[in-house]
Amino acid sequence: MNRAKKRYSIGHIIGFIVFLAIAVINVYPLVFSIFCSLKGNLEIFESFVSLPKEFRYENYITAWNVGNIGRYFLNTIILAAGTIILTGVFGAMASYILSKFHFKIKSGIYLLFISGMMIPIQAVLIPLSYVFGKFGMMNNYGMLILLYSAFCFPMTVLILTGFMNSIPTELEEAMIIDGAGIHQVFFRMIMPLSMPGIISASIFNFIQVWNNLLFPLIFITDKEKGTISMGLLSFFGEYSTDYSASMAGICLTTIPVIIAYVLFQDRIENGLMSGAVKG
Amino acid sequence: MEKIRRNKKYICIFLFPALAVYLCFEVIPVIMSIYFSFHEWPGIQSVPLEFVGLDNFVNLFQNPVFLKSLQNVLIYAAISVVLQVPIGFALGFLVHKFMHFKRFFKASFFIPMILSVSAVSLLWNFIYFPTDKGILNTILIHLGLENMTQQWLVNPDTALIALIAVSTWTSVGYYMIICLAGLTAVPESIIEAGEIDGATGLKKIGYLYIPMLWDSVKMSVIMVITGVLKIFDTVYILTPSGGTDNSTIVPALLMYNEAYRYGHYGTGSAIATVIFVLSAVVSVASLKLMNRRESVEY
Repeated sequence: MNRAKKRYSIGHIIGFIVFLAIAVINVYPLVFSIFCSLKGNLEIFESFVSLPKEFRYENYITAWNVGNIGRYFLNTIILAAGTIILTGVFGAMASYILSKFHFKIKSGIYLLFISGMMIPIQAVLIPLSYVFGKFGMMNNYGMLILLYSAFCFPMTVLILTGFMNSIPTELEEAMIIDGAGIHQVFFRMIMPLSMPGIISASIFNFIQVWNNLLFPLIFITDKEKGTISMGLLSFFGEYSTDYSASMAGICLTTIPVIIAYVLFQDRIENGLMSGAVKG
Repeated sequence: MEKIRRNKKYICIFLFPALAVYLCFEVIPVIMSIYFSFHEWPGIQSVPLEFVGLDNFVNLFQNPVFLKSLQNVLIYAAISVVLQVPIGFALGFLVHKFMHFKRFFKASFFIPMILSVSAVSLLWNFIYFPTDKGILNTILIHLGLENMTQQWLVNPDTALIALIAVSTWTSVGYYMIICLAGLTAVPESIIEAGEIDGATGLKKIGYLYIPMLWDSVKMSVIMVITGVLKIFDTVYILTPSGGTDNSTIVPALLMYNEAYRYGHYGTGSAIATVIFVLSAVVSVASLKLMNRRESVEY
């Protein structure tokens, strides 16, 4: 079977062109948003497909200043970073125990974690807003990070126990015979060896936090503390007639993500795949 | 060594942080939510919970809006499964097959998924813009299909399908990735053996790849369904009140509106409980159902 040297037939070329067309249609809304963000308001409605006549960068300045996009961006990054660190460390600790230790209710606890993937976030909103309201915990980033983390643990534990199962036990045993304690084994060996798994899980978790709209909508009432998804929405609500500025706001939030994706494409795809394969 | 692996102290210390956070912020609130659904509470801290028994559920299932939301979400889920999984897998096969521009193709299908849902939904708001200046309408006019122009999100006949299109655009990339992940695990030798036996084109996909990828298909279907059952963001942004004649109302949006707009927290909790039970039942049931095909032996 000499598949590599097979020449492309007409059918292949037609297939390729069709595929290319699908890809272009798929990307079109993104290109369109960049075009529109550089046009004037009236220009948008003259034609959607045309290139902007002159580049109006001031739309971006409006979005940045009035829409407070920078602030929301920073807030979201803080929340996401906190969640990633917390789930990374605590998730790895729990996964280590669930992967390498033996005790009676181990499979029960593993199942408890995994079944969390079936819990929709709507199921916790009302009780939590009751409790958060009662104890004045609204707008509290610490609480929000714990909340996000709780919803990230199931996938993290799933990915990391799978990963740690493949780390040979002999390595740990050698370290323990040399006199290391379990905490040393964990932080000096298990954590570094599990890094690829932790990164995969973190990418997954980042997307969760980044995309979440309901938690900030309900648990953040102070506009200064809003996240990007929520901020974009309120900016859009207030400036609903200024289409070009709204488009610039959308672009300000999408372009960094696209750049990050292009830079780390393989990492991100592998991260999401590892969640997919082991599921 | 064995003794260390059974050491209760280490087990507790290492397990405690994750388990505590998970229990406090996910498991206990879910149980509380079920408890709340048997009570009425107006959302004011000084007012205590009032026990009403099954009233919330009884009212819910007599409420036409709620029944409509269930109907919508089931239609949404059915169409999403039929669209997203086959399209995602077809794209996966194509990306797998074409050697050139692989990264570009993968990126173009995948990027919509990592963009924030608000940005994506707001973007589609322009595409569906109700006047003849909206992008979709402009395109239709240019194609000479004037009579097909619509107020996409306003017209109750098209609103739901318009939302499904947005969800499909955002998520096919994920099912493409799942397909690609599955394909890397398919041993080349089996495919070649099939080719020698005369399998080509569609036959190859139907009899070789699909059975080999059945686990990935199964997982994708469950992910689409559970994802759709709790869908909120897209619907909330594009049709905040649930559309004309509740044409796009879904349980999660109804729950949000009941609790946080009208202060009916008991009703809201009851809806949350229904969503939770529904997604648990559907996940287990669809797993069971699709396991039947697993008897395929290689």
